[in-house]
Amino acid sequence: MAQNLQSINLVAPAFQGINTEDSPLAQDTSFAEIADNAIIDRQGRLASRQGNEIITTTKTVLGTDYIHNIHEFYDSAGNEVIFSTGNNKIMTGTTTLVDATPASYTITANDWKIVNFNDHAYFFQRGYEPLVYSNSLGAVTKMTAVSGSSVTSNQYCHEVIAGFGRLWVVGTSSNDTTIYWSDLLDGDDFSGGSSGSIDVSKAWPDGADKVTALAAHNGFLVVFGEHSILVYANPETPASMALSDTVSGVGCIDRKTVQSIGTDLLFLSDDGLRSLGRVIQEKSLPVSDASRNVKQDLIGKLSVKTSPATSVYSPENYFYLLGLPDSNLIYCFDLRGRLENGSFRVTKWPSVNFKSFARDRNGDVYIGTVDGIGKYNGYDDNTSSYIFRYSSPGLTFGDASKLKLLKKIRPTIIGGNNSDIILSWTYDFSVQANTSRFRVGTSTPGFYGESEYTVAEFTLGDLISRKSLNCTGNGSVVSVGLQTEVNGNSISLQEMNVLALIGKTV
Amino acid sequence: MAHAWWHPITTAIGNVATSIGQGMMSDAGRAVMGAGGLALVNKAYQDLEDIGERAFTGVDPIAAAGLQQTAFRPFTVSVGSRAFPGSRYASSSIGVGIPAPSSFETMGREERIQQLMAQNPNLTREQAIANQDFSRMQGIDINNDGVVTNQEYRAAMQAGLVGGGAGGAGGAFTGGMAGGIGPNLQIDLSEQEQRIKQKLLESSRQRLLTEPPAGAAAMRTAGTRALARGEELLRGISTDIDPAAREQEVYDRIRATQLGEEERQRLALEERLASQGRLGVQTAMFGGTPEQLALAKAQESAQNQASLMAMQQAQQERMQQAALAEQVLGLGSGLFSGQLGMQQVKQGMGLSDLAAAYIPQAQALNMFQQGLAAAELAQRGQLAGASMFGEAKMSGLDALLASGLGRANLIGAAGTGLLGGAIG
Repeated sequence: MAQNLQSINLVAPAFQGINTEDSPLAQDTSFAEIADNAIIDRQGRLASRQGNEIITTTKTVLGTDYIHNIHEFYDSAGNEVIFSTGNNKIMTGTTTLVDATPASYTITANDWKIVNFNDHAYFFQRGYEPLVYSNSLGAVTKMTAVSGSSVTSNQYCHEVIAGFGRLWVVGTSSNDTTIYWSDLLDGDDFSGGSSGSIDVSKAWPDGADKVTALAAHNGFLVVFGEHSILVYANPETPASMALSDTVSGVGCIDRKTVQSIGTDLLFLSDDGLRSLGRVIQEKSLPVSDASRNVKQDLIGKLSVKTSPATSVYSPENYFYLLGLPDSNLIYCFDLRGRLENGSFRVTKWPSVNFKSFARDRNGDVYIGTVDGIGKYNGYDDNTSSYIFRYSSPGLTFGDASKLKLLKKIRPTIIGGNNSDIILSWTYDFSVQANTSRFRVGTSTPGFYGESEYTVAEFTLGDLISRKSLNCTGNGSVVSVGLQTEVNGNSISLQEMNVLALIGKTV
Repeated sequence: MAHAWWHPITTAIGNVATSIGQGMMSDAGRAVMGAGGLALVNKAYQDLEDIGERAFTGVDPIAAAGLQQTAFRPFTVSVGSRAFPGSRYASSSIGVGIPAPSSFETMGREERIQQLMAQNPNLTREQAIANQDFSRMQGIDINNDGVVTNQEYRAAMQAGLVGGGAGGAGGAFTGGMAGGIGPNLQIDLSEQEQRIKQKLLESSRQRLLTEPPAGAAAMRTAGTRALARGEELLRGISTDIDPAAREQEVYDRIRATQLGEEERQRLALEERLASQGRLGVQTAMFGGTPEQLALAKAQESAQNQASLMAMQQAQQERMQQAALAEQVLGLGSGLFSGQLGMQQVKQGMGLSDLAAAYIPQAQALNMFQQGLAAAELAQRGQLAGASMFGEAKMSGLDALLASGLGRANLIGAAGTGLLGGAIG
């Protein structure tokens, strides 16, 4: 006797991002087992990320190295310079990289951190004399060569922030616990005026730690240790600032992962991405686990990390990107809202060579690669395609004890423009998937104000594809997925309707 | 008017010449007249010579009588009970021109020698004789009576004839039992006065020449000890007490009382800074934290204050010791002054006794001055009588001489006439 097809409608599949922490059987279908090179788009759909549009045309100075760091300098007069580092050099420019390394200044590492402060750019890297750039100086200059400067090897630090009217530096080759602050509004004077230092070695809640990063947040000076956090209040008067709060067991392992997103301070801990919340009234700073849903996966990646991580916060894209160059992996945390467990929706961008990020005042996200400096734009990586992949968690159709016989899968796909879509389904967590391929229609959307009277006339909108594919096989737990090659056109997954027959109990 | 003594002679010579002239008329008559004239002249000459002799010899009795009449009449002035009969006290007296009775000065040479030997048992007779002989040889036996009295010796001393009594008879001064002012001025004190004087002189001698007053030696000893102690204290200020060491000692003691509280404050601040995570703060403005600077400033202020207090305390102690030394030295000086004062008082009393001992003598001399005026009255009358006697005698003698001169002149004139007649 024929049975009715049972439908599982995956509306906006994976709009809660990847979840590798919970049991697949118990997961909400809004999670994804895999969401590669994907983001959560403005409609809350799983969509392909944008690509890397390389803008550098001449990168002779960079050689075969990649861009380790990108920084936009700007001053109150409107001057702007994009600095980048790589190949043991400091470079300026975006289309043509120009060596701006000071003369007789030898660099053997590229882990610079650059901050803007009072119309100056300050370059800090452990063991190196700090460098200064300003429009008046006209060139990157050694700090000791700046008139009125006062700096010693105690300030050859690794971490630097600009906040509360001063530069704050920490982390020399021999001291990771003494924080130095400059004179007020004078980033190159570390011995006069109201400059000073604080040795926080006695302040760690766990007894010992070393400072890895600093942040100015919510009127506090946040001092990150590897597994501790110190929060100092009243840093506007450093001599009187006092410990306001401490966090034990959570720290920051990479100074470049600290990003203030307005309400929270995101940083990479050794157990994943963490956020330091901001509660103005209570003046307390709750710590939450922002990468709760990919925690083990991320920890696994961090365990093999040897190169500095990188990050960028783009409020225009609602994401925080965490790059792990060692793994050629980018975690994309969607910051539109938190999930029930306090984490952010997360997707992954695997197999990318994005080595560094930066966001300028215009909201452009710069990407540093071996090709030079690019922008987060378009839908290819320097004219190369990348794979957008989705896989659902295990679907039991309400009863994991019975066989399911998939009959049809009907995805609703937005965009794609003549892309080949490969649908896949597997039973009982098998690594061997059944696939079915189809191609979406051709439609290059022309948007008003963007394409009118140019290449194409503006169209009615994105291409929507609804294709029903027949399926085979059976099993008690079903996973469905989709992947496609993104090469110039965006694609998003609006919906996926799965029809199955419920069979006998196994 | 008296004529010259040669006038009778010339007159006689004139008469002779006249007689000779007239005799020329008669040679014999003229010769007789000449011889008679010469005889008269010669007679007048002889008369004049006799008159001179009589005047010369006639003055001597007058002078002798005047000398006798104006000779000094010894007299005595008596004071005291002698002037007021019935008094229980005998009086003193002072005599002028007569030796005082029972006086040492009235002794003969032998008596004087015996007296000297009696007064000085160590003096042999030969020495006493030599003493007297030496004194006479020195010419100090003013009245040349063979005895050198105290008065003579004292007068010789005042005249510089002898020294301060080396071997002189003055050594036999009897203590002024009868102090005289000259060989013929004798003060005779009464027995009571002499006893009082003797007692006062003995008291003066005791006070001036014998042992210091009672307690003076103890005061001197105490003063010496006090001065030594004061000197020791003064020396100790500069030698025994090192100001820097004392200041350090006081400073340490003051700081010892402060260190506990300072340590508590430091620990409290350290705990507070530790709880605030600010132990390692170093600033260009404050060095450490502002609280540490404030605490350090407070502690340094306390240290400065302690240092200042230590210096003041040490200085005050030195001043106290100096004041103590000064006080002790003042005590010693006071004891010495007291001792000297006691000696001065004693000497003053001795001098008072000495002065008092001579009060009867001074009173006698004073009375002598009064009596001397009375004596002068008598002597003035005596001198006036002698003068009148002399003048009366001289007027008689003058009259006698005038009559002699008249006779001689008359004879001479007659002889001169005869001689003139004879010549003429």
